[in-house]
Amino acid sequence: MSITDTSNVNIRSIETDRKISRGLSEQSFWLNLGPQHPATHGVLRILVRMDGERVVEAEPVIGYIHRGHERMGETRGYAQFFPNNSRMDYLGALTYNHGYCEAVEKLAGIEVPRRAVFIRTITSEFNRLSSHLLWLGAYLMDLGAFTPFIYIWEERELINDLLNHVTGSRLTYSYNRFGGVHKDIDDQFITGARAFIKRMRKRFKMYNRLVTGNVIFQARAKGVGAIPKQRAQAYGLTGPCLRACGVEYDIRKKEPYAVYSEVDFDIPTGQNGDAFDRYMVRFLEMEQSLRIIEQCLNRLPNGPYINDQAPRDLAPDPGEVFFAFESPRGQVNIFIKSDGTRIPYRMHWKNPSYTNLSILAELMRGQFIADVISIMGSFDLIIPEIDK
Amino acid sequence: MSSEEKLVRSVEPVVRLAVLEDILSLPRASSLMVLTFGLACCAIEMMAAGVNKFDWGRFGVIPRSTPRQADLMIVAGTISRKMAPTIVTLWEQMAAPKWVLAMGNCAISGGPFADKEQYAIVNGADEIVPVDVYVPGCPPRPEGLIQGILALQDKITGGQRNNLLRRFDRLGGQKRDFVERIKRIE
Amino acid sequence: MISSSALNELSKALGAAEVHATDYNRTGSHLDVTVAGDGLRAAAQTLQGRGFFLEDLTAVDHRTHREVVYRFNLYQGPCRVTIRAKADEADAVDTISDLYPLANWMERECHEFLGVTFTGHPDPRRLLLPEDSDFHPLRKDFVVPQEALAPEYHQD
Repeated sequence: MSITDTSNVNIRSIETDRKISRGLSEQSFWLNLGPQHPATHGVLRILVRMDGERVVEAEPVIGYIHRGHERMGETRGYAQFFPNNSRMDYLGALTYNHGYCEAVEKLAGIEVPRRAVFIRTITSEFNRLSSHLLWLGAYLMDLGAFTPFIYIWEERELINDLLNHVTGSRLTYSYNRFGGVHKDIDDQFITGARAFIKRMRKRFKMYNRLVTGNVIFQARAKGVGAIPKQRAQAYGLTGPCLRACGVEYDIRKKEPYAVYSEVDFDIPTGQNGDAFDRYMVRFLEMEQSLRIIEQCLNRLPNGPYINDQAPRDLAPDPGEVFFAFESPRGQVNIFIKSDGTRIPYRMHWKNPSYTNLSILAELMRGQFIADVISIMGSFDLIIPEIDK
Repeated sequence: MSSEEKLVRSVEPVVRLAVLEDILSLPRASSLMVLTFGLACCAIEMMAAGVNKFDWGRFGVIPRSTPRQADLMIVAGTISRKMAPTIVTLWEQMAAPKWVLAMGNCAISGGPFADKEQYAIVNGADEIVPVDVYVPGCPPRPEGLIQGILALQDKITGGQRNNLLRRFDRLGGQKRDFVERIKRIE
Repeated sequence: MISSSALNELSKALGAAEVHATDYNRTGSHLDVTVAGDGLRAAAQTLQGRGFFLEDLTAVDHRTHREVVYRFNLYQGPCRVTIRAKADEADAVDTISDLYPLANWMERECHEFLGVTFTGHPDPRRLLLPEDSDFHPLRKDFVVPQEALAPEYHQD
């Protein structure tokens, strides 16, 4: 058989291979998904080998936004590392701030006043809500629906206003300090938060009507990318991707920190582990976040918002700590080893999108390329937290 | 010809049209097609600048996903050494006339990641592509990005465009009471 | 929370060189196990048989040697087992990527950042750093290569 040229201006094929059957020649080609996408996911590159519209094999290539956070953690002081943790996961920045502070406070033995713990929980849950909202808009935009993307920004801007009032930033917060928080929340924040909760509950009904029952959305999400429970557990998935498979594993319930053991909330789980279940789990988690915020606002104690005795430039005693917390994407692990100086000896973060992405290669085999986009969107990946 | 001269020559148009150029600069500035090149955190603020509260569409900006159809590349986020060749490829794929806006501290100079122990990033987009406008911030507010786009429009038109909107007041002149705002849009 | 009797039983099953219970509230881990040589794969297999999942895999550079730290946990309830494996003189440790699929990527990352070789790993390419890098950034004796350093920090 003569070899025909397969050059196609849209596809950069770096390898073609031949499969000859019944006198016809078939070939598969390599397609580069990324690293430049429409800006929703970040710089992820997936090399897919395609046979027509189906993916034969896939390999994610990461490292395009590797900025060396771990090395920065080992060459600067504990407090100087603060800006880094918000930039690792910029959509869940307050949760990362919170987790980092809790980890270092555990290592150094710093007490946190009750009011500060409540404030941390409230702001983390607002962040979880705004992260899930953006995920919702971005995922639906990947599927082609532009309306929810525009609608969620309304809610996100309101949350940004509230958090901006208290923390000073819109996106990459550095709000928590060792021993508490940077600024107290005032009555304006509390009134605004309560008004927002009331408004959000009505908006959830609207989103449900707009999105959940939509025929096109269901066709593109139901049954797509179903992860078997055993595989999810073998890979060590966490977060909504795992909860959609039916495993009820949430660090907020299993290893509670802050005030999560004192408030009442449910962990939504799915059954099939497909994209639709991942969507439903996140949607219901948003409602649970509102519940947590409301309860925390009702029980907010008076008192100091920061422990003044906590040193600004920490030099904890030699030791190690391992701390796990729940970010909007799943379980984040922090491992800090101190050697007694003001600079950590070893700081290691394991972020949930890393684990969630590792199963993608196996999941994508045999899927249509359009379903691959749906699966990637439903995973809620933030690439800088994969690349640290 | 040095590489710098080659770079400049690749951006300059082959044929110059004198007065027509001045007339053409106005539509070029008023309808910038943006290659939204969101790398990291700044991408979210770029998205925010595009949607309902800040809305760059009023200034004629339309986002495109492919460099072949874009004339402005907004480098939003940190440039890692692994990503740098891709950025240069994308810039080369854009057709002249093209401009680059460096958004955020990372794209200007490496941002909060630039120090003497850093091995993985490129300290600023201007090390690899020619940059026209720098918008500082970490991340810059969406109004800041829009101000950067308006500054670029002035640069393109040579300041002919009497842009009244550049004088918009960030706070809008009224007290920021978001409780009222939430209730008003209920 | 896991009971102490279950922990005792787990320690006996692991049967490794040193197993001791650690204070979970202070360090975050229930059991701390130090293994040597083949003990690592045996311990990992025991834990896999009991339904543990790999939570974290990293290495610490102690200047004279490297130590690989593994964390395993149960989905049913917090029961964190930390396994420490000291790398030998050639900086090599056995791989567990055939038992735990997540270890495939984590060992690649550990290798490129700290230089620990995982014998038997099917695919020891670079994961995060550019394909042609030859340095290990998280080693304590790492010096930023001149071409990667910003111009203002060059020692001229």
